[in-house]
Amino acid sequence: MLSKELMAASTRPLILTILKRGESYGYQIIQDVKHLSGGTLEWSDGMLYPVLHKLQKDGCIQSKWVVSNEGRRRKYYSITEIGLEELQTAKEQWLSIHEVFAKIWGPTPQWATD
Amino acid sequence: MFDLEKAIKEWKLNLRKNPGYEDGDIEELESHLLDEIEHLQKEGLSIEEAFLKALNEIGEANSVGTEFYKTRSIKNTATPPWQQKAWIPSLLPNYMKIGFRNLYRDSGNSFINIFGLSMALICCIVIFSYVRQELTFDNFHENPDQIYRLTFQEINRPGARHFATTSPPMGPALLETYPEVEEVVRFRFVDSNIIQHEDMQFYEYDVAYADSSFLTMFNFPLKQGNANTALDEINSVILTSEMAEKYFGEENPIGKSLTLDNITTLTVTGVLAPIQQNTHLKFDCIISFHSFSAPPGYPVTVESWGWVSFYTYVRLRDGTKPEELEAKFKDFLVTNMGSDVGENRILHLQPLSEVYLNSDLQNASTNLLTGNRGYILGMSAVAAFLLLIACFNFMNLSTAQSIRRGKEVGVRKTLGARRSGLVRQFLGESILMAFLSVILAIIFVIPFSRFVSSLLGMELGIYIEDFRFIVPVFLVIGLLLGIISGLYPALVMSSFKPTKVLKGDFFRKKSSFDIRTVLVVAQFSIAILLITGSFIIREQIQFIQQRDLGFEQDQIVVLHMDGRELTRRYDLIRQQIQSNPNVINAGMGGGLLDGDNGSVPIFSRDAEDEEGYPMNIYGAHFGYFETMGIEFIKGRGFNESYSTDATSGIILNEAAAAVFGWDDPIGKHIQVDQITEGQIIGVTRNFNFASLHREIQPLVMYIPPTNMENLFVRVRPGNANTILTSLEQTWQEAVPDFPFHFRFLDEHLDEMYQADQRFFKLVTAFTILTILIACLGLYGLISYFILQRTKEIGIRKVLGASVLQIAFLLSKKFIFLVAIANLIAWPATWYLMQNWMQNFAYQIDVNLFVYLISGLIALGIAWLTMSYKSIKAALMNPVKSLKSE
Repeated sequence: MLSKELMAASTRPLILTILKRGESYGYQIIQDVKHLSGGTLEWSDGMLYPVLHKLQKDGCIQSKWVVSNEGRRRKYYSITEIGLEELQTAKEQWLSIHEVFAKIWGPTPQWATD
Repeated sequence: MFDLEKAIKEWKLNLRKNPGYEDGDIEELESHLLDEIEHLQKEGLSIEEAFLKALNEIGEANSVGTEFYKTRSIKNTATPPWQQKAWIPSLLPNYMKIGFRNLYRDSGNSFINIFGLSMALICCIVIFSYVRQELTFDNFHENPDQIYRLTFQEINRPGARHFATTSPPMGPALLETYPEVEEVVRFRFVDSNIIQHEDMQFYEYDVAYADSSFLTMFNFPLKQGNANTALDEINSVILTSEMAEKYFGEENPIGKSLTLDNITTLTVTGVLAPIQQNTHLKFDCIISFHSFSAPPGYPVTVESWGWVSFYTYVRLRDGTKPEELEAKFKDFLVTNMGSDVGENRILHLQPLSEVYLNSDLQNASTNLLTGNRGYILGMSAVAAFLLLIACFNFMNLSTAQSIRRGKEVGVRKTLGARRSGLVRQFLGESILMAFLSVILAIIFVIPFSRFVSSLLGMELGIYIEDFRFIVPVFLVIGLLLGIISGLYPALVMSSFKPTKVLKGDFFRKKSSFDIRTVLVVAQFSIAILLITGSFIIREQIQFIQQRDLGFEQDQIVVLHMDGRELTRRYDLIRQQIQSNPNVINAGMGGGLLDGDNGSVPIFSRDAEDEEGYPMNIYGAHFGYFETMGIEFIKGRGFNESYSTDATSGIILNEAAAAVFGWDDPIGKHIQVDQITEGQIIGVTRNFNFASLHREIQPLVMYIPPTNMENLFVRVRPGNANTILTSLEQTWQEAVPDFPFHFRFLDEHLDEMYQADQRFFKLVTAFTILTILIACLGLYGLISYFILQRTKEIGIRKVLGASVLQIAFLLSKKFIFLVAIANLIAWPATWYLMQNWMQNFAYQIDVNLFVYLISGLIALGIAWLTMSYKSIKAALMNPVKSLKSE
């Protein structure tokens, strides 16, 4: 289980990444996240939607209602330019943090032998 | 069968209650839910299980709603308004501001409201402390419920009496006979004694003889001396700390001696610690009971079973049932006093807790403090009334005050205030007001009780410990009052439609019966009841005090002296006193006409049946009847020129003569128990030799072989000081060896009505207070009434109504209400006053005018209260009043 703070921080780039692959709707996004993370990321399903709305309000994604083949109304979300930009920034930030940790937690940390 | 559609519909309805969801949100969630259910069904769950699991995965509806709200609010962290923590609503500062603003803007009425309630609360505490004081007499002894006083009741004869006293051998015999009786104390009070230490000598009136068990049965700890032995020896005495200080000052009194009546030497064996608690036993010193013997001339001894003049207290063993023991007393009486007494007397056990308040027994009130249950009830009733009125007022005014705020409610509702919020606001405000009064009351209760104590000349103890329960009780009262008085306006106001309230339609609502009308009537009924009551009480007390007692009590100085010497040297002393130019006449007598009389069986061989009648006896000497101005309807008073008067002259009062029923009683034979016998020489008109609470009983008077201690002196009217100085001079010439001690008879007799006087003062004080509080309420009400009709008044004036017409129009409703209050108050007053007057043997005929006048007074006060406001309203410039709403 991830900590609450880390979950909160990672949700936005995660959603944006999934939407970058193509438009999707809430249920599908959740399934994707579950699938990708192998169960490490567990949300209470309902909590995803406020995040989607927030992203939409910030202009990162846009939405439209679509009636599916089975006649069910679904709200599809797709990423926007702003969203792509934000994702790029987020990606850089996460990777740089990752690098730092990789260095520190590597097999022989440099500063330890100095 | 599980219906998915229905379940989802319910779930959606439930979600809608949360204001966080907006259009589309719920549909989106529904779509999600359906997908999830479908998925779960494929995994093999039943439709119901799938629904429940899916719901569970979506998460708690309210927190999701909150997240939705957050995405829309500007501040990312804002808590939605419907989720604010209950104990600090965000509008609280606003409520407080409005609350205080209302208090301030309407400060006159707020003051009336707060002041009225806190006054009433304070008075209740003061009355409460009085009542408690009266009810807690003698509860400080160890296991007080095991202590009883023996009372002795006559039965099967006319005029049978119930004595608070028994005879001296009774107690010890009970102790010996019944194992249930653990210990016994006998008390004998003696009228007065001269007690002397070195060159100091005083008359002491509260001297008692008591058994040594006194110190173990009652909880009077000794400051000095050994409680187990202090009263064992003959002529040993224990003193109260005040008396020890009076005679010995700083010295240690233990082992020192005091001289009693110039003869007996008493040795001080103990000093009592100061007595803080209330006890009905009134004494300055206690002499060991062995030292007591019958005074010279008494036909009885401490062995006499027939000498019913001793207070006897018994302590029963734990677990003894007093009724069972009482049932055995009949045999006890037969064994010890003969079958005649056994058949015609009952020995009772009176619980100690009842001794103080049960003062209607014979002999109960001479040396013991007595209370009056009726007054306790009366005062409690007054307290209840007062609190009731104040509460009515408080509710009334709060209601009126808040009704003016229709516009505020309208605006608040328009801006989205919920009903619960408004209710909370109104409740909060009235609770705030109530608490302000409670706080004021708590602050001022001590100074006020001091003031009342000094006014009434009685100690009203309110102690710091009391606040431990006064404070919580007051807070509860405050909270309840706040809630009750806030609830009505809160519910009524918050239920109105804003459009209506804003248009002002709310004020137009007219109903013939509303709660405020009832409240006005109720409090004026109570006020009228008290006004009438205090009039009647005053009249009754005046009547008692101005009543012709059958003798002239004014201008009588009672000189007091040792009985043996006064009786021996009577002729000489009387002669010398009478030679004083200020003295009209003088005569020696027994008691001070305050009801402290002996009572013995009286026989006559000239009567039809020779059984004795119990009658009061009274000693009087030459010159007594002339001095006192007691009239004779037959015969004459005692006179030196008849040599037989001193030994066998008997005088009856009318009541006694009536008992025997002779046409001509003069010359008939009378035997006064074993004390004396002789012939009737005169019959006096009935005079009151006891308190006017009692009817005049049969009285037999004779020149007793025993001693008398009082010289009644009738003096000429004039400056009391000069007369007393000259009397003292004469006294010192006549009896240089005894101190000059005087009392005014009328003052002494007034003391018998002290409790009545005090009751009257209290009732008067509380009547004034009640009227004040009721008027404050009325004033507040009419101001609102006028406020609501400002425009109407303007229109009426424009159309030509006169000031008087308008003033009348405004006050007529209230005048009518006060009139109705009269009708309610009269029968209640009549009933209560009838009850109270049962206290007196002589009652006034209550003039019906009293009722009428009290009613008129209440009307007048009500009208005065209102006229200021209503005339002011009527005088208002219509241009202004029409613009006002």
